[in-house]
Amino acid sequence: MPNLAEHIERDWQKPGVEEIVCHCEMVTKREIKKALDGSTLPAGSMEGLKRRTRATMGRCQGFYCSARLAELTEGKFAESIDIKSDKKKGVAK
Amino acid sequence: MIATILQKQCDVAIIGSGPAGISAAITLKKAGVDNIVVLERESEAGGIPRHCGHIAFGFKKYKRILTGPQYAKNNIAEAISLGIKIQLNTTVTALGEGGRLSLVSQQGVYELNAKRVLIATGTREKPRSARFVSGDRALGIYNTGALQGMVYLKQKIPFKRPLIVGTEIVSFSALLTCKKGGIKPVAMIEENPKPSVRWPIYYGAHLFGTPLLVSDR
Repeated sequence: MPNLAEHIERDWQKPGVEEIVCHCEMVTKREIKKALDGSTLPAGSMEGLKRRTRATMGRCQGFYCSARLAELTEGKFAESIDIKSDKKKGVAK
Repeated sequence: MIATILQKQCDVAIIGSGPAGISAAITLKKAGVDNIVVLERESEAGGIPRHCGHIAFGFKKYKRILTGPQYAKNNIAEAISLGIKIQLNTTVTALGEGGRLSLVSQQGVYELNAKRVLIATGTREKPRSARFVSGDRALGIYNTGALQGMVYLKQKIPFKRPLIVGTEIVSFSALLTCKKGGIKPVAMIEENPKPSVRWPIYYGAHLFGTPLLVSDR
């Protein structure tokens, strides 16, 4: 689980930040990837990803990062952000 | 020029490379301010118009009707031709006393000392308290910015038959974005007795075959 507390070092403050995905909540790509792949209990839905990382939970409410998240989470969720990728998996809509 | 070398000092730091930041940079440069740095948190300069793939932008400035991305491209090209530095993938995390900006980029956390700072971060989504689209919302509820980003920047479709809530200009931008993505909204809904925009624009809803419901919530 990423550290979400502000009184200790957040991931974006550590070296090797490739990309900040959610700017309101300062969530890095590294944290998103870890929540999707590197965890013992990976996020299986957007709700799960929100709870683990706080991505889209800030003041813009996903205005900026939803598109990038649709890209980063492709194939990871039972129900995808992009409905075209659900179609590929044969999930009925 | 898109800057790659980190600058530690500048005359004016402009936060945001959207229309406001870029036009301010151009105006300052033409007025003789030499060392200007435009800070942009995204990987591409241009701001919101980058994902407003529809018309009508730039008529006042370029005397032509452009799409958002064309307008953004023109603005950036002009800034670059004047030698204005745009620092991409750079987020401002704090504005300290005396123009000391804390920044984070792929090179890590660093500081930039600016004699003057211009905040050009533009318009923002209404706060969470007014919108409540984050939190426990179900998948498939988005604001227009998210929809535009998906359709125009990433070619992704978040829904097929959405309901558009509101009839402001941005609601019609959402309608155009749906059209582009092959999405067919079920309706546009407005709680007031009249749409928020003037008639030539709301006539657009009829053109797209989207029912416009007023006095409904």
